Amino acid sequence: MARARSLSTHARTVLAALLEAGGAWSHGYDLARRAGIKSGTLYPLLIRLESQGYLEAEWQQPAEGGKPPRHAYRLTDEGLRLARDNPVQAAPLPSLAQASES
Amino acid sequence: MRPRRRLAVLVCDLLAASLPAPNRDWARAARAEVAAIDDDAEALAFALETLWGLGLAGVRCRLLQLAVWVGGCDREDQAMVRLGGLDRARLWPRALGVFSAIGAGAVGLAYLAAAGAPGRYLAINVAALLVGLAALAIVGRLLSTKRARSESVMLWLGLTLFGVAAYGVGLGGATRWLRLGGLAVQPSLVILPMMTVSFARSRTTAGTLAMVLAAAALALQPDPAMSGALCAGLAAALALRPDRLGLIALLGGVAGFDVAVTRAEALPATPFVDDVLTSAFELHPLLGLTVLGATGLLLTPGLLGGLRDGRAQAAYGAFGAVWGSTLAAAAIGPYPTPVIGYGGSAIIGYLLSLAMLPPKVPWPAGADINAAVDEPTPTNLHPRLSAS
Repeated sequence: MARARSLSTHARTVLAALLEAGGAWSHGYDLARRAGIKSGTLYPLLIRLESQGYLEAEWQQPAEGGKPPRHAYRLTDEGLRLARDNPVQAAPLPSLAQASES
Repeated sequence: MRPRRRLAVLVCDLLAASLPAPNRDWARAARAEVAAIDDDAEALAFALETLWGLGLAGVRCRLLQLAVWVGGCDREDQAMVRLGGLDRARLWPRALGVFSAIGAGAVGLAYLAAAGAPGRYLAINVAALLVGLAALAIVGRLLSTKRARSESVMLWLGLTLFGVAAYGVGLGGATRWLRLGGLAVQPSLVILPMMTVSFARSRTTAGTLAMVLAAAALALQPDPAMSGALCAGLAAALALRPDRLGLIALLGGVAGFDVAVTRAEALPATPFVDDVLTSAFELHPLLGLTVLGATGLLLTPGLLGGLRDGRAQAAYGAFGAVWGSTLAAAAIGPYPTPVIGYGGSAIIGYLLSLAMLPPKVPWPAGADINAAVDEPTPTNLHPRLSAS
């Protein structure tokens, strides 16, 4: 299985945001806002994390009708270990509540 | 639908079109996020950001898929080229060489245009690039299915060089060319790099005989530059994987080189073909540096492949030595500058020699192919993750 060697700041930030969500599923837009990174940075990172088994993804039906299913993400056990082993070294992330208020 | 919302949807469609087929679900995911964002401006910004980061990576990956296909890889290999998979050119030596040839060829066209070469020269180089790419696609596939027949092919190629020495077109005491449809083709530039790399990778008695035949033919033509390239390639192959057949071929090559140097007469430099590097620096230092960079680009398949693929280091070494010595000879003497200067033979020869390299470098046994890619993407925004 894979392990961390030298994660970029963006990777650590995304992992921290996913870790903070606990076992809950996150969506791309919310994740980008919470991690404070552009979606163009986020998605390639999610693809790599998923292909290496750190992330699981599933399609979820939206609560309100007329909207398409959304792709949701959460860390696998390996991903949780990776996130814990590679904490963000800079300023702490905004909390979920703060992110939703902004 | 409001204009910004419509534009955001259009951007998502572009994103889907830019991604390799196995990654298209991610475009669907981005589109669903856009639909979930209430503010139109915010939705459009999200779509554009995603297109800029993920879409560009997707386009690069699709270009790599195309180059891998041109390199003669089968469908199974091509399927590995996707974002999150084997999406780095350096993992595909032939594809890397395709990019190198196109890049150096483009620099060559810029040089020829700046130097005032006739338009016909530029058209011939472009045509040679297309012919070379087609030849690589065909030969690359043939080699993967009919490897056993390559021995007899090697012998025929060696004899062809002999035929050129006997019946080719002469100039200034050298007989190195064939005239095909009004064009002068130099078969040694087309054939020899391919033969040398093939021999470095797989040495047989018939292959050794073919290399000695080639060395003798180059001595007869005489062609000291290609004879030197042959020796450099064989020496690199022998140093990286010493054996008796490699030594015999090298001794034959050195004897041929000695004769070629003794018999060769100094030919006048041909404009746009020889002295390209000096001429480029005289035109503009920046152009000179670009041409110099392009020569380095041509060597990358050998250098990077050799670093990553221990099984075929002799082949990568021979590739680097053949083309490195040819480029060095062109830099210091009146010899053709392959791929960059005017001349289709070297362009086709470069691309054909790529077919003799392994199509891809190996990854650790038992490791998941996705986990084997541990470097950041070209956008340099992603983590370094490695297989343990």
